[in-house]
Amino acid sequence: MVALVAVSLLSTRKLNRRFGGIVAVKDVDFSLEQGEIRGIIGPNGAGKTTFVNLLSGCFASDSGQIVFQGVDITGQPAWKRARLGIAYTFQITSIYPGLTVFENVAIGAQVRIRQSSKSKASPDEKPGLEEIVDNCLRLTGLDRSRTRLAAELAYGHQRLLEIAVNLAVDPVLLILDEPTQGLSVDEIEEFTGLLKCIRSNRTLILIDHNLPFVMNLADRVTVMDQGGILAENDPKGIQRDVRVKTAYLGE
Amino acid sequence: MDLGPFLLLASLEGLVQAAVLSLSALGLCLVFGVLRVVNVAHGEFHMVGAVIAWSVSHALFGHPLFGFLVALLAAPLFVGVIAFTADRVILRKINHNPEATIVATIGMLYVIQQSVLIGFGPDARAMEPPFYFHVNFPWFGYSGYKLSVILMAVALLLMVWHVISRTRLGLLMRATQLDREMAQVFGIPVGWVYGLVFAAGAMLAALGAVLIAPIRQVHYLMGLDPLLMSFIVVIIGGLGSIRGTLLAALVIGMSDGIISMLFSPTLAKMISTLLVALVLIFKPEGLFGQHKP
Amino acid sequence: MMENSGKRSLALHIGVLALLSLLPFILPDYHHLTITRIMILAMFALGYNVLFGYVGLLSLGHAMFFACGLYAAGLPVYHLGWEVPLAFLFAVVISALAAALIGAIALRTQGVAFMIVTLMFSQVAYLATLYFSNVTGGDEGLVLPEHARRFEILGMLVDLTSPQVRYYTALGLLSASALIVYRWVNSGLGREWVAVRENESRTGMLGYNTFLIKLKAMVISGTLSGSAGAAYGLLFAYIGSTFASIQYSIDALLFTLLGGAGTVLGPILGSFIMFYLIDFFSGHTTAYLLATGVVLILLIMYFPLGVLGTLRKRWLHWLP
Repeated sequence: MVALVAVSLLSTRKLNRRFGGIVAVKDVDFSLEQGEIRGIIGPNGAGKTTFVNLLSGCFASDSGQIVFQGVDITGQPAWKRARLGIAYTFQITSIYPGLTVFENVAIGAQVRIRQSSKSKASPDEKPGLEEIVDNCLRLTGLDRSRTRLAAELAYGHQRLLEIAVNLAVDPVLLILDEPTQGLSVDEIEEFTGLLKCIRSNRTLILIDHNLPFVMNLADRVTVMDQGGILAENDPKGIQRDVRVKTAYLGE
Repeated sequence: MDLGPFLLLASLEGLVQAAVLSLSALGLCLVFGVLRVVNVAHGEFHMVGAVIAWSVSHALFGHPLFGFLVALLAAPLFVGVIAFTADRVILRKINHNPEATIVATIGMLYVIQQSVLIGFGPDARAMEPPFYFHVNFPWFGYSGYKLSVILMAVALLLMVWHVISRTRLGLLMRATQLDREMAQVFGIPVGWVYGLVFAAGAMLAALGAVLIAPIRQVHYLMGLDPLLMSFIVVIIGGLGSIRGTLLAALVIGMSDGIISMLFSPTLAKMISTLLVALVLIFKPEGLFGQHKP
Repeated sequence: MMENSGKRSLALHIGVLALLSLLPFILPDYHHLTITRIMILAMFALGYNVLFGYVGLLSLGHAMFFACGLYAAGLPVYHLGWEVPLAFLFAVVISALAAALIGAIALRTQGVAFMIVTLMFSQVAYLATLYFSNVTGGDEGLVLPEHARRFEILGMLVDLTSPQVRYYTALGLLSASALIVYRWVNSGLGREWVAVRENESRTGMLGYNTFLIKLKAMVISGTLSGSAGAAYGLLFAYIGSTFASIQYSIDALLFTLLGGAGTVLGPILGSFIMFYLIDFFSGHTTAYLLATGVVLILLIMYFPLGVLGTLRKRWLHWLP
């Protein structure tokens, strides 16, 4: 691989986080390239969710450094990181159940409009907002549910809605935590199509237990175990890796 | 009076205050610990306890001690039944949602207070102490009843401790407090435990009131002060922590007596309320039991 | 929002305000003063509702903002002989500052802790009005002097002793507040508020500074409440500690809950219903508080959405 082509979008150095006596994330050095789809897998309790929560700013790290697009974001709160372009979908679906599908996505779109109006002076809010929302709804196939309450949607559609809300923000990096959890086989297939569709101008991090799904989509896969990185390779290489097999199947 | 005896007197007064306060604060603390709700009507249960005590001792003939002992049983029983019913009828309906419970208990506060106003009248009434004798210190005489209040409160606290740590009910309580869903899975009747704990909290407030009634006057607005003081104690002691609550009751009960002697009571209340609010804002982890350690 | 429903709801709001402006011609004189009072308290509740109904923050201390406006307007008039319009503007500014300060501190807490903290701050404010009674008049209060009963604005002489003038001043203030809130609620600002109410962590993770959103709402809410307090003091020429008591905080909550939290007209409707409900029961002062308690319990048990909230859920989805 030619190192010069690869542009590091995000990197961490010696990232640590403990909860009480338990070290959840331990000395993690991690690097992500612009435009790639990165899978993160590992047994339960390996620290995957904690690690991406440190990236998104849900939790603060105890020590270490996070650099995103050349900016040190280690001490920044979640909302500032989000404005820089890091979006996160929760493991447990987090949407606005009491609002309509349209309003859900509009909340995401509004951040984007705010931000773009800061750089370019275009006070024209309305058409922009509707347009963004419509695009995101069409992309996720939710356009027919536009006026329904989010709480009334089927579970799979709620997961899609959370992605639509995040797409409306137009993030640089989208972190998906267990996106296929609880989805049917058909839904996972549709979902794979959606991710292929949105990857064109984005970088994705996928955490999932569904290995075929991750191996199918990811350019590279990081395996975590006991808070650290066990292996990192392309999907084929990971599948051959003996250490990974041991971590999954036990000694 | 010299400083030494003065301090002794102030400490005795403070101890009496702390004794009663620890009972009612413990009640508030138990309810918060197990149900995770703040009972704003707590002071009114205290007030009703005092009113029942006055009524009982007023209605019964014979030695005042007899009336007092009957009140010691009747007041908590009566208040307990009201509180249990209120929990089962009102709070269960709103699923003990913390914010809704505050609104509902504010409503209960008004209903109880105004009902007592209608039934008992607006006047403050004195209750006869169960016995008179003076303990004579070299510098001053002191009411034997007040000293016995301290002893009775300690005895009651020991009983509560015994119930919580040594009985089946206490076990159910602690299990429910630790993990409500788990308790439900193990077949603990969580709804009943909630009702009983809510009632127990109110009964503690009522017991404190029976003890204090012969010292202070009985009045339909007397619930506000114990409510605010219990709030302060429970917050300082760490919401839900029994040991912290008792310690805080002792410290605050003692210091309140002394501070009120030195400053204007309004100013003292202002400053202490402000300080407690700031503690709640800037050190919530240590004070709210449910947060991470 | 759909264009059509937007027009419909705006028409409804203007219709309600127009109806209020006609009431003095229909109702006997006895009601004029009552409705004037209700309208000012409705304005208070309207401010309360911004925070409670739209952002989802339940304050138990809004009486401190009401009283802040009341005293900031009344004290300069009483002690320094200020003109009424100047005192009113001063009160608006002071209320905004007070709300910003209290908000910056209290908004570090959430949920139950926020309720208790606002309750305690308000209690401190109440005690302060008692403690500094040589300035504030304490419990007895102060009656504003004769010069504060009439003033000139834009070449017009306004005579506050006239019930008609008071009525329409109150209506003007209420209408202005209602339309401002209506405008904001239906803008991006309102969307941010509701987003925080519905799911604060999601909102933060989308790139919103939720603390700032809450602080802004607190300032708007406190300023409206303070303006209502200032109007109350100046219109009725009396300021006193009662207005800082917890009773008034509970009233704002009660009116809002009853009418429907998170609807613009809810607090107005709630104020009217509650006032006339009490009027219906009363005779003695005790019934007032008893009714407050009973209504609070029933609302929280059976109608947590209030009158308009329930209507909106069942039939009128377009209601803002």
